[in-house]
Amino acid sequence: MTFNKLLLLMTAAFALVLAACGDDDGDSGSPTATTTAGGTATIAASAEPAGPFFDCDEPHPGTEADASYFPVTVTDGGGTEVTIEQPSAKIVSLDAAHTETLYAIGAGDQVLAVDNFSNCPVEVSALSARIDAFSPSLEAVTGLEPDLVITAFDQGDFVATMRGAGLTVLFLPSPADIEATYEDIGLVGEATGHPDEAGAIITAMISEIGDIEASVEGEVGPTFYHESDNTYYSVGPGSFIADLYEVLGAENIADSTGQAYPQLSAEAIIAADPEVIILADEGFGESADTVAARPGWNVIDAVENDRIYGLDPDIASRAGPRIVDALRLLQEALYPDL
Amino acid sequence: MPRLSVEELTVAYSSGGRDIVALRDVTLHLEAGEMLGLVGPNGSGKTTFIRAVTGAVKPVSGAVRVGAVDVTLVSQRDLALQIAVVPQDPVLPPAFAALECVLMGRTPHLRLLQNEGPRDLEAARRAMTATDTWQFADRLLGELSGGEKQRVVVARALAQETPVLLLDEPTAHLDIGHQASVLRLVRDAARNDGKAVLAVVHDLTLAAQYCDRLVMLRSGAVVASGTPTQVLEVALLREVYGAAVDVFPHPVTGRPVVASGDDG
Amino acid sequence: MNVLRRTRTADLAATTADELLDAVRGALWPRLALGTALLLTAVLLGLAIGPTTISPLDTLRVLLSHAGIASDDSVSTASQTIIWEVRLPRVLLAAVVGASLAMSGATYQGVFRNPLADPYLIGVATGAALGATIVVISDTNVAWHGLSLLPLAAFLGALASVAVVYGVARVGPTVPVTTLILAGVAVSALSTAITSYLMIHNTTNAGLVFSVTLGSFNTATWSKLLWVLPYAIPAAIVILAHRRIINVLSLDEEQARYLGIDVERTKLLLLGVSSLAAAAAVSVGGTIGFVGLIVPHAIRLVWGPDNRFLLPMSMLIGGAFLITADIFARTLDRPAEIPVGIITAFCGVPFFLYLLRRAKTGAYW
Repeated sequence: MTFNKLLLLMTAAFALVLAACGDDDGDSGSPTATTTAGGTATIAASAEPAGPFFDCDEPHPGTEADASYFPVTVTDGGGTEVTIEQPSAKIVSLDAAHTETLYAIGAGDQVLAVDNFSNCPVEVSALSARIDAFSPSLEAVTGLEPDLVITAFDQGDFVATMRGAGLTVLFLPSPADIEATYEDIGLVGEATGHPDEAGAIITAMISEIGDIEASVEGEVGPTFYHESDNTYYSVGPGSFIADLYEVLGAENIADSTGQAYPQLSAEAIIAADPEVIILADEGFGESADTVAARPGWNVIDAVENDRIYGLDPDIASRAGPRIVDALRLLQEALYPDL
Repeated sequence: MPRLSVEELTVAYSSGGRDIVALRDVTLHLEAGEMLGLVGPNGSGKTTFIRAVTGAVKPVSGAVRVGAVDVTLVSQRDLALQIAVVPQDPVLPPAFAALECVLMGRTPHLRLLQNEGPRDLEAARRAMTATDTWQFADRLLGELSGGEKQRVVVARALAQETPVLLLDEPTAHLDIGHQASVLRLVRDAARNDGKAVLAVVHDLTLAAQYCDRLVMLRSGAVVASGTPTQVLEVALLREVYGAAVDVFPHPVTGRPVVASGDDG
Repeated sequence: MNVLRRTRTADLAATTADELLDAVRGALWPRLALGTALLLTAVLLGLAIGPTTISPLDTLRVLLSHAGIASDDSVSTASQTIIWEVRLPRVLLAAVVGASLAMSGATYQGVFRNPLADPYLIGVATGAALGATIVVISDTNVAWHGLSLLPLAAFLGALASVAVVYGVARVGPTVPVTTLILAGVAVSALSTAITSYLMIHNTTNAGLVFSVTLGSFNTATWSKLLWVLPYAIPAAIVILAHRRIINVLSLDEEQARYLGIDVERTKLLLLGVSSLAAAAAVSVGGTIGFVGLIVPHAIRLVWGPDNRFLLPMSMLIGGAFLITADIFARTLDRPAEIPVGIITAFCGVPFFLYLLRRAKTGAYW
């Protein structure tokens, strides 16, 4: 057969296939569409009778800063010694976790402005100025004339630039585990004149987390898969969230990658057969339904037993007072019978 | 009817705000079986003429017909079945074989999905035998010399089997021996196959030697037309080329030989 | 000088034109059979190898059981699922995307007569990345026909970019090659700038955008395959039908016109369908680079530039190449994934160095 005859045959075959398919939505083995995130068991925060550890909907009025501790020198996350002469009255927080910490320790009255991601507690919505967290403008920050800036990012040497402009800056990058979170809260407490409140919060957190840890002790931790986005990016050793899971004694299927934010291959997830799936990407339209519809995923333990849970990424990724709430939510998902 | 008729062809274009007239009322007839040489100084419009005849530029006025058909009204393919062109300095992909190149001349004869058949191969072989290029039919174009490549391109045009053949400076970059052989073979194509051949030739003596008729252009207009002896007249040449030239008859052929003289 | 040079025919005078043509062109079908064999081998390997170890015997059992022969009861459900539901669509998608990218690259090189030409030159890649980024940062999640909005946005972004480049470069009825390339570079730079700006404000979703910009088949589904086929197959048919014409285009445009080809219309048609196929490929696989360049050039190095063979072979080898790259992408760092575009880039660098050396010693182009 000449090549061109073959070509004509291919064209004819293709035309036939087109005619046969009609306006077939491609249902041969392909997943059906879902239009919204639905059918996922979202973990209810109000299950606890005592209410959340740090309630975003409740006001957190500030208390008087203790001036007797000043001047105070602290060493920030970048290793720089920062001296603060007197309690700051105009604090700019460029990170949502630190914002929550400030309000938790009673420094709410001293907060002047926050970043665009800070949305908790309710008081922040009354603040007039917002700074972009990922690409802050030096002018915008200096224009506010803050006496203290707390940030978690140092993109393009921004911290040095701010200090060069005469600002007092505390650089506290995201902690890698719970221990480091306590240290950060303590440091913020010292720097703002609320060391005692900070100490109280930390003690409460240690106690609550200790309770959680005790309650799951002796239980067999389930295997889980934490999904950060719909191309199967997950969290692994070295990431903060992984530490939360570790406290709960759960086994992360991404542990063997050794990477903090690995992208897992679909078949590896299926082969690992996790008992629980936690979705942090409901904002992308993923839900228990869409996960179950993925080709081959229906054989996974978590899918068969309907143990797929949505998790608000705002709670899970902020290393501040709300890690207690994150742990409670995860505990419910991982140990529903407790 | 002449194979190729050009009537009062005027081609103009604007460049830098000015209107430049490249060809002015050029009239020319080309009969089957004759070889016509188009001569003239640089910039006299010879290449523009070829472009206008093949429909690459649209004339302001005038008409070009192949037989009875106006060239601006036919498709590219139909035009290629009437006129074959050997362009000046053609770019040739070095990794194709000479035979493949010549077979490309059969493109207008083939439908989209059609492959070359025995008829096409026969045309290619005949063309390559006539141009003495069959001996390196399977050699890659990159391995051939300038003269050999030029002959391959002429073979391609011959394989196209058209009634009209146009050549734009086919002898540039060739040595004397090759210049003669290329012109001789297109003249034979005219005489033996009845093609109407028009060649733009730079060298006046060569043009006189091989062409039946000459047409001389200056600044886009025809200033002389006729036999080589008639056209290559000393006074005209001196005026058109602005140089001291001498013309004398070739001792053997009797055709004019143009030599550049010395002003003193 | 081709690597596999046919021997020179001894006595040309006695050879018929027919025989000589066969000698010059070489055997088409045996070579295509080789290409098909390579593709099939790649498919089988792709089904058998992955981050989870499944024995070749089990793989065979699963495949045969779906063909009605043998039974796969002895194979675990997970393994069955992985082979048939996860690896199969992934391998097939990689094959179609690889074939489309290689075929488009070969077509662009033929039309532009430039060894560096491929659809990414006129903005297919950067346009797709921009379209995808816009969807990602807008946090929309509407699904449409079983497909998330992402591939559709990538596709539209790619097409919009090509349309802008074409509109900018057009001079009356013609599209001069140099102008097209310059316009492509400019529009690509603009797309990249806008994409970067959008990404700065949304680094939390950077991983998702990387999957688009670096390419990945991790989320391959049957619907993605069905999405790309209506663009890939007609494009392949049109391009293959023009094999001989593309050979003629490798002369310059003036000569092609003298040989009866409507150059502008042919250019538009060929570039149009190959851009369409490339845009569709990019929208489901991400912008995987180098396939459109490495595969056609490798074939030219071995077998010469004849498009009659180059085009179909590019499709076969392109598919095999990308399947193989994807095998590495999912096993090198198991169980984590490496974006497949990184693997192809790693192949690209030494290949181009080699091309450079060969170009100095002789023409293959």
